[in-house]
Formats: sequence, structure tokens, C-alpha cells
Amino acid sequence: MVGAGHSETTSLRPSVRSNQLTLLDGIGAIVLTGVLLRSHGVWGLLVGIGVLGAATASSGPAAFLLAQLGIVSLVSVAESWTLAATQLAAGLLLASAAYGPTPTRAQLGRFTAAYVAALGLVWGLQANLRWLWQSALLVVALAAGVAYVLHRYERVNLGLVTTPDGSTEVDR
Amino acid sequence: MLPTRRWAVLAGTACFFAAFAAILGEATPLYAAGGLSAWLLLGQADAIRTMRQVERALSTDVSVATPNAFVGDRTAVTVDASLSSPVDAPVDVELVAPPSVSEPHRDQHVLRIDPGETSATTTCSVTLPVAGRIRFDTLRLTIGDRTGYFTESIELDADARVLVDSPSAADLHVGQGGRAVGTMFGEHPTDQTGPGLVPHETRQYVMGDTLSRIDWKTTARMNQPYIREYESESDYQLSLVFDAGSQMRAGPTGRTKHAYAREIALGFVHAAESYGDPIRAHFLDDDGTHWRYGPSTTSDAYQTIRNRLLDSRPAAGGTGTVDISNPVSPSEARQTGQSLDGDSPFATTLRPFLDETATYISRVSDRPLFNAVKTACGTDSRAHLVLITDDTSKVETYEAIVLASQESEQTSVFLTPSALFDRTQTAGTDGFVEFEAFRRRLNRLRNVTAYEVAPRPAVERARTDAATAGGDR
Repeated sequence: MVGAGHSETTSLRPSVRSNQLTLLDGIGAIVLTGVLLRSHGVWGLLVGIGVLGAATASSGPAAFLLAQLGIVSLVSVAESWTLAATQLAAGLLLASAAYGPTPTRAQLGRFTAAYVAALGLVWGLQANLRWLWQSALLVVALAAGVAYVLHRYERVNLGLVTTPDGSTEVDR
Repeated sequence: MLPTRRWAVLAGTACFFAAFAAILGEATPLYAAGGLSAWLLLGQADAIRTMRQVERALSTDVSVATPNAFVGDRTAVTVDASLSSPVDAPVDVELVAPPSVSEPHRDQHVLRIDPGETSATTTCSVTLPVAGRIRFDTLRLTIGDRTGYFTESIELDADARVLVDSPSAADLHVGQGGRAVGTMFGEHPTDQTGPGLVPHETRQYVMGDTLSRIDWKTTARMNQPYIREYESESDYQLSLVFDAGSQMRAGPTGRTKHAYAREIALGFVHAAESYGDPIRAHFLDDDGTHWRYGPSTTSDAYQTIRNRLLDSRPAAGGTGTVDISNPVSPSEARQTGQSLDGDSPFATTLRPFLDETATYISRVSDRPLFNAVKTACGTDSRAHLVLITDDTSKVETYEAIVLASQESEQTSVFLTPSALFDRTQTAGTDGFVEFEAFRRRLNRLRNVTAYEVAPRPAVERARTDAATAGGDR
């Protein structure tokens, strides 16, 4: 028995040492688990445990995606406070995926502003437009439009856009 | 800015959530789509910031190891890249090889500055197969971002050049003891009189002269029969023995022993054509004579031999059984044997080897060069034998020239000194001095003139080194 226990300890240790869990992941997973446990009982707990596992195993956005799937499965738009709390908890998971274990204050500030603005935009659209598909279409179109504007800005800024006379937009 | 596959997966997921919301009529998935989109846009903005930072902070340098090279050479191209401040994204700098060089392996011509690092360098080896001015003037900069969702490629200017010359033995030196000689291809008067075209002298008629040779004007003037002698010109048969064995490959690309030897051979063919001399050619490689032609005086013959020379390549095989020892003739060996002390065990053991000549002769007579010279001499004893080879196999060469000196009226030997074609220059001055001793030894043989054939700069360097070494001593 002692031997088996020792073997188990040694095999777990590398996994624990190499885990990808950050402080933001931990806070996000705990908040998400707490909110979902309170509102949806054991199903909420299971989602929270799954998210915690994904955050431990991966440094990418897997935990965020799993959390969103859990939220979509359990939370309806009518539960506005639960939805807001779980989305903010998921935002912490995303911030961890974006900036790693030690984000700077500026990075966190930029991320929070962008994330909250996006959620606010979605809330505003779905609250004001008659059909939800209109909101969905607008969200996708807006994101694509901003991405294209950023792309063009980058091309011009790096001097990669040439005019017919051979000069770059930066030169002009 | 190009999105990566990871970005596409996340963008697709955001679209999926948006579509899911529209299909279900439930807004919750739309918040997931909104959050994910916010993150992707923020990542894009961060990537732009990183790319601008890299573009401003990066400095690159491309340098070529040898600014002058010959076709077929390899040269090293070094790419250095450094950032004035580290960035949190990987930066790849790729040397864009011009179309006229063979592209090196990707690992060799792409360097990566990892996140947090400020500099990197890489060196790649490129082959230069085409003559001309080759410019390494473009670097392709590939900047990633911290999250791995975007990349951007920017072309940067560089300024590294290499001048690639076509391979030719343009700086040919033909000489003796490092001193160039003028020409070997002059008229060849025989210093004999007889029938011919160029008047030489008049003399009194003697019994036996044919009546047709009487110069009647002189006879009338002198009141005695006179004969006018003409300078006799002869047609030498040029017997060319050209060694294209594998040892002739030595030297840099395009400036091998073979290339210089070929220039000499072409010169003789041209001279023979100019004077209408019959020509005969023997081309040999490691296995023996592989091509024989002539004798002939037709214009086709000269052209055929010329074409054959131009197409000639040194044999590809190794030097195999070539004997690189110094020549010791049987007579010298016998003298050495006689000088051994009395009946000491050393002398008793060694003497039979020094007295034995059969092995020596059979060893040399089996060699391609010796056989070729023997064949060339056997056809016409009045032929001018021209042997073009190197000094790798001294025993064989020496014995072949001894034979030629006995069998041929005139023998010219052109040797490419191995010491002057050694890329590593390990042979140095001693190698050239040793060669010169060998050449002089050949030159002392009857009817034999031996020359060295080499790149002029190498000969001048060897002479300078030899003079310096002599001064030091």
C-alpha cells in the first residue's frame, strides 16, 4: 500500500508542476463554478470542474470555450445577473489565455475595456433590434469590418501599400 | 497581415455561436460570439503594435565570404539580425536567394529571433552556377504575434554582392624556373640547306649535284657552274600527348591543372594548323589512351582535335595506383647498391633489391603515360613530341621522357606543378622547389625542354616565397 501510494505521488507531481493554471484562471473558474452551482446546482458544479480542468491542462482559450458552452447550455438570457456574472468570469479565463500568467495593468485594462464594450454592444443590439438574427448578423459584420480596418491600417503603416507612382502611403 | 489557422478556428467558433444564437432565438450564445470577437480584434491590434515595433527596431546585415568567385564555387553567406529592444513575438529573417544561385536548405537561410531575444545569425552555403554579378539584395522578414494568430511578411533591402567569373585559365604562365618564356610556337627552320623556297647561299657545282639546281645567272656571271642553295623548311609532325587523368582535376573550379594544360594543347594545335604541320593526338586518362587521332593535316583534323580538347574533362576516378615517389633509375639504384658497405647485414639485405631492374621497368611500362609516349614516339622519329601532364607521377613521367628523348627528335614537356594547384597550399614553397628540381632533371635530358604551366599569380607567389625563404636561410 505504501509503495502504491508513493508511486501515485510521484506520477502526479509532474502534472501538478507543469499545470497551466494562472491566478486569473483560478479566479474565473471559482467565480463561474460558484455562480453556476448557486443557480443550477450539480450541473453548474460539473461545468465548473470541467472548466477548471481545461484551464489546468491548456494555456489557450479552451477553458473559455468550454465555459461558454456551459453557459449556453445552462443560462438563459432572462437570468440577466447570472449571465453577466458568468460572462465576466469567462472573461477572466480569456484574459489569462491572452496575456499569460503575468499580464500588465495596461493589458488588463485594454482587455477589460474591449470585452465589456463587446458585451455591452451585444446587449444593446439584442435589446433594441426586433429579430435576434439581425443582432447576430450585425455582430459578425461589425467584427469583420473592424478587422478589415485594422488590416488596412497595418498595411499602410508598415509601408506595404504602394501607389501607382511607386511611393507608399506612408511616404505620402 | 495574414491570419493563421488558429485565428480561423476561433473566428469560425465565434461565427458558430452567432449562428447558434440566431437559430435558437436565444441571445446567450451571442455574448460568447461577442466576447470572442473582442479578443480576436484586440489580438489583431496587439499584433499591429508588435509589427511596427519590430519594423522600427530591426537592423539586418548580409555579408558574403568571398566577393569574387568562379562558376561552380561555393561561398558562405551570413545573415545577421538584431533588435534594439526585445519583442514578445518571434521574428524570422529569410535570405531570398537570387534565381541564379542554388537555394540553400531552409534551415540554413532562415534565422529566428525568439521572443525576448535581441539578435540572431545564420550562415548558409550557396553554389554559384552562373557567371555574373550576383546580388543578395532581398531579405524576407516574417513577423508573428504573441498569440500566434497573425503573421506579416515584409521585404527588406540588403546589399551583398559577389562577382562570379567564368572559369578560364586567363593568367597562364609558361616558363622555366618561374620565369616566363615568350613563345614555343615559332617557325621551325631546320638549320639545313637543300631544296626549298627561301634563298640561302650559292656555291660551286660539285659532282653529283643535279643540273636542275644550277643557278644560271650566277653561273653566267662567275663563268663557272654555281648551285643556289635554298633554306630547307620541314614539316614537323606534332605528336601531342595530353594527360586528362583524374589527378588533373586539382585546383579551383575552372582553374584546374586540366584547364591550364588544355590551353597549352590548344596553342599547339593552333600553331600546327598555322604551319600546316601534320598532327597526331593521344588523349589518356587513368586507364590508358582513350582517344587517338592522326597523323593528319586536313583542316578537319585540327578542328576535331580542338573540339576534343574543348570537350575534354579530367577523369572522374581517384588517382588509384599513381606512383608519386621520386624517380630513381636502375643505374642510380645500382650505384647506390655498390656504395653499400661490404657485407653488413643491411647491405646484404638491400643489395638484391637495388640490383633488380626488371620489376622497375615492368612497373613503369604498364603505366598509361609511358605507353602513350611509347606509342607516340614509335610512329615517326622526326616528330616533335609534346607531352602535357603534371608532376604527380614522377617516376612514370621521368621514364616516359627518357624514352622520348631517345626516340624523338625534339620533346617538349609541359608540367602543371601540383604544389601550385593545391587549394590548401599545404605543399608551399618546398613543393615548388621540389617540382623545379624535377623539371630541371627532365630539362637535362637530350632533346628535351621542360616547362612549368601554372597560374601566374601562384608562380609569382611561389617565387617570392622561395626568395624569402632563401634570404632567411
